[in-house]
Amino acid sequence: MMTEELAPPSAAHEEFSALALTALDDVYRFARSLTRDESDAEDVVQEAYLRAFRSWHTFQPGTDVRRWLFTIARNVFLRSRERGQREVTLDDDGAEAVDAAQSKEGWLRRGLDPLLARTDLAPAIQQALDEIPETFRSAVVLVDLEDQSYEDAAHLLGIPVGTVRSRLFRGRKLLQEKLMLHAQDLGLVPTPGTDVSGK
Amino acid sequence: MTKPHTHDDGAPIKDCRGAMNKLFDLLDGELTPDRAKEVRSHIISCPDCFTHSDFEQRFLAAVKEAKPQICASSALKEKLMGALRAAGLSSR
Repeated sequence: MMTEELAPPSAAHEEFSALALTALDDVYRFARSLTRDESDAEDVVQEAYLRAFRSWHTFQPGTDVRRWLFTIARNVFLRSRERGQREVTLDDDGAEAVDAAQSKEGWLRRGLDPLLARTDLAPAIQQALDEIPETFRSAVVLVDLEDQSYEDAAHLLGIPVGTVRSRLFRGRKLLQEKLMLHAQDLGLVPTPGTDVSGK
Repeated sequence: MTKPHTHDDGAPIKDCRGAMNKLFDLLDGELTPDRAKEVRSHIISCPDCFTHSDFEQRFLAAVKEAKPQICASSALKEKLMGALRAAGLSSR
C-alpha cells in the first residue's frame, strides 16, 4: 500500500533551505536596520522570504545570496511604506554636499576625537544610524556593517556606483553630526551657547 | 569583500582636496593598488591629511564594531517555516 509520506524535497527546495535560510539572521538584521522596529522587520523578512522562495529559479547560483535577499527585503520595505511617503532623494548634489561637509571636518574631528576613544560607543552609533534618513542609512549599513563593496551596494540599491559614494559620504557625515550631539550630551564637547570662548 | 574599482575619475592627486576626496575610497578598499599608493603617499606627507585620515579610520572602525549582534527569534523562524511550507516548500 502506498503510504502518504512526505515527498522528498526537490533539489531546488534543498538548495533554497541550504542557502537562503542560512542567511536569515543577516536578512533579519538588515530588515531591522531598515524598519527600526522588531515587528515590522519580521513582516519584511517573512514577505521577503516568501518572494525569494517563489522566485528562487531566478537566483543565479554562485552569486551572493545575501545580496539577492537584501535586495528583495529592501524592495519589500520600500513598497510597504510607499503609500505613506516618498523616498528621500537628496543624493544628486554630491559635490555641494562634499564641500559643505568638508567645511565642517575640523569641527567634527575635534568634537568626536574624545568620543571615539571610548569603548562603549556601539549603542550611540546604532541610535545615530536609526536617526538618519533611510536613503543614507542603507548605504552605510550595506558597506560598513554588511561588508558590501560599492558595486554590490549599487547593484542592490539599483543606483549608480557614484550615487553609492555620495550617499555613503553623506550618511557617514550625518552619523558624525548625530554623534557630535551625543558627545555634547556627555559633556565631552561644549554645547553651543555654553562656550563663551567660541564664536 | 571589496575589490578595487574603476569608478575613480583618475584625476592626479595634486593637493589635499584631491586626496581627501579619495579618502573613503581608500579606506573602503575601493581604489586600485596604484591609486591607493598615490593617495597614501600624499596622506603620509601631509600632517593635516594624516590627522584627518586617522580620524576617519577610527570612526569607520567604531561604526563596524557597532554592528548589532541580533538574530532572528525562534518564533520568527517557526512562523517563517510555516509560511514557506504553506507556500510549497518541502524540506526534511
